[in-house]
Amino acid sequence: MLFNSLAFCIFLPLVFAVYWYSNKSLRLQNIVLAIASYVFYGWWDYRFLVLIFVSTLVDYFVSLGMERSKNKKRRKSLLGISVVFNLGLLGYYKYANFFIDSLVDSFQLLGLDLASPTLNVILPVGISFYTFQTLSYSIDVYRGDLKANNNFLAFMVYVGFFPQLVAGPIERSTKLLPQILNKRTFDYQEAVLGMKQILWGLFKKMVIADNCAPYVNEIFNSSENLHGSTLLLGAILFSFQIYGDFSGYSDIAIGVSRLFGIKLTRNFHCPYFSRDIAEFWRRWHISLSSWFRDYVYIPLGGSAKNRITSIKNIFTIFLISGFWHGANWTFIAWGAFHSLLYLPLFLLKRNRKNLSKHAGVRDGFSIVQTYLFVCIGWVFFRAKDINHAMDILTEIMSRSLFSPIQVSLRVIIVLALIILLISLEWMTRKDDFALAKLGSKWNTTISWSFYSSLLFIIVWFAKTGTSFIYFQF
Amino acid sequence: MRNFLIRTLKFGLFAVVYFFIIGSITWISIGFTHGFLSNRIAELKEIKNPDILFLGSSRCYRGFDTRIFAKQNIESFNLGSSAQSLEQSYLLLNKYLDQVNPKMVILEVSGRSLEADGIESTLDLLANVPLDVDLGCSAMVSRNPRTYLALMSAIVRRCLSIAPIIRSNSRDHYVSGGFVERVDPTYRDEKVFIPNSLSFKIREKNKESLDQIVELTKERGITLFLVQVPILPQRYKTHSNRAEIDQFFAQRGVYLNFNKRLSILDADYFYDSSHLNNRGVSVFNESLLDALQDRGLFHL
Repeated sequence: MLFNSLAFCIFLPLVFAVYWYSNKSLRLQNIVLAIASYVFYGWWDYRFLVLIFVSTLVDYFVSLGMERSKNKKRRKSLLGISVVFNLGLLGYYKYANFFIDSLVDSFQLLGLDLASPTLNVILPVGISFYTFQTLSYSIDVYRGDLKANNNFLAFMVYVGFFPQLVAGPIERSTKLLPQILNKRTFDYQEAVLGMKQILWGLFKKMVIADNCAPYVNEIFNSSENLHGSTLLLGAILFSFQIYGDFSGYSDIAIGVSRLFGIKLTRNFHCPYFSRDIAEFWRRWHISLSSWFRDYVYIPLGGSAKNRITSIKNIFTIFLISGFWHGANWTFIAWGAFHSLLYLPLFLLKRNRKNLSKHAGVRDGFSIVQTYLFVCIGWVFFRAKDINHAMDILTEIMSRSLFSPIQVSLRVIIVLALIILLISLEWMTRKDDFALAKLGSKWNTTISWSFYSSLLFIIVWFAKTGTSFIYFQF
Repeated sequence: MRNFLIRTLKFGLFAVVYFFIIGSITWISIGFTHGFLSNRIAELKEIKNPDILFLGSSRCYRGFDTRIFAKQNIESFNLGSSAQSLEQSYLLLNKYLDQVNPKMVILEVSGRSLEADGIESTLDLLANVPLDVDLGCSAMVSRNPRTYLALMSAIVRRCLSIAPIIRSNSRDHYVSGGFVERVDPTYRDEKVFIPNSLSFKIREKNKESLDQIVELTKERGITLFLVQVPILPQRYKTHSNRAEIDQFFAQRGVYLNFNKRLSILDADYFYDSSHLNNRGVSVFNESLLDALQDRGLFHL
């Protein structure tokens, strides 16, 4: 079920009503959430409900086993089961064809022609997100950071909580589970904030992302005929398409959760206002970056060992992060590109800056520079293959970058909407999200007119039934 | 909780009123005017028993020049509208057939008219055609928020008897009879906006509507001619299932694909990849007249 669909418009108020009507006990609240989550996921493809249920079962019992065992070896074996199972699922559904094709290509380089047995595998929506969430739970229990939870219903809700099930934020058990294990009471302020955040998320998704998409597709699909200036426009539009799409989804997910009295982690913090790549990674897909930091980078030794190990770890983390996004060399190249941008900052110990309260001209310059680097990275992310990305970048770096662009009125309108988005986010960059405080002190008629205007813009520019990019990851 | 529900409900009501006011003002003032449909609808009142009624998308109203047909003593009227899908072609034909009563209907068809979801065309119709039940229903089933806004504005316009805005622009010249002429015939390379889809997907509703058009014209004894207006060959070739589309139309009536007949046309005959310029229109219309004569449909 998509957040921007008619089905969800009916589903959400229905679940909201039943949930708060069943406010009498925690068990009832969790039963409603579990059923709603499985309906939400099954709406897309009911066959994969088995997968998510089995994943829940495995991690539930493995963690209980680890909790009860004092034997370190046994605990390690149990953790191994969880890791192999979760990564195995991910490997099979997401990467099987990639590995087969890469193997066949490698043999071809050696002059051996192998038949490529492409598997007909459908990628289950959200598998990269919920496997990471369950994995972090098992690791936390193994480390002793968290007591294993013996309430299966609550654990089912933790794994399958519908607002964040298919595209995050990837929640830590230490944050989400305690909320699920305690009865939620209705909080008026939180619910109002939730509604505002849903509105803002819909604006980013349906107005910005969906209206950039057709031009991005056309530019990237016919890139060989286009000038560098148009290709740069394509990269810029894609940067806002992916930001609007993914951060829009996160905002809607967090907003919906607020309606149910559950707080989720902030996933984006105005990433395009970053002054360098290190800051960008503290603002972009925060839940994934911090997951990799805590469960991969630090266990590998982080930056505590010698420089060579630290550099190796940074490369590893960026390459894995790229590979997590998809089974394609373009994502790995994207990760590698970001690691190359990050390393100098790390070596010069300048990777800890945060946007100061009063950004000056110098900060403005750094922001634009960082944004352009990020856009170059997005070319790898969006291109069909590495050669395609390199062709686009070569054209962008050529003289044709200064060729005039013929843009229709519609593109100009899309650019104007992007400027509106940037302006609102800049004005409210210290807040939780753009509408968190904006309008709250205004007269009711004015603030409601403002929210209705946003809603009007959403309706005006809406394209129904468009999916979210991150569903494929 | 109670407060939240009451406040949400109040906001909902506020938003509905806001939408009604702002939506109506926006649609009535901006409307959907670039296809000159309002001009055609205004002119249509005077049209009775023409030899040919043209229907179709912008390729129709920019492709069939009624003046060229008039030179051959063929009276015609062009009722094309922007992005008209076959669903809207049927809607317009059904609405105006009794009033206009043409001897022949030339329907501009293409893979695009079979594939189109009709949203853009529905918006155009809602802004410019008097609202009736069929048009209202077509808007309702579109499941598109913008068409709901446009429908709301059409209702307001009808209630207040506000006539659609008739506008002109400096790039195009509206010719009495429904044809729209591009003032500057120079080809404008808009590579950025050439879609690169693999194949046209036939929409069931359009297929159904074409069958209804065939049935309706047959019932009234009106000759129906399906015509593909030429587009820039490079654009025409971007879709791989051209043969399937040809076969689909050929099975349903007299069909001519001028992309094949006039495949030699290059950028000199177009002002963009989808539309002929004056030179292209002249060559295409002469060729169409020859084809009609060859078939004994008109004696020129």
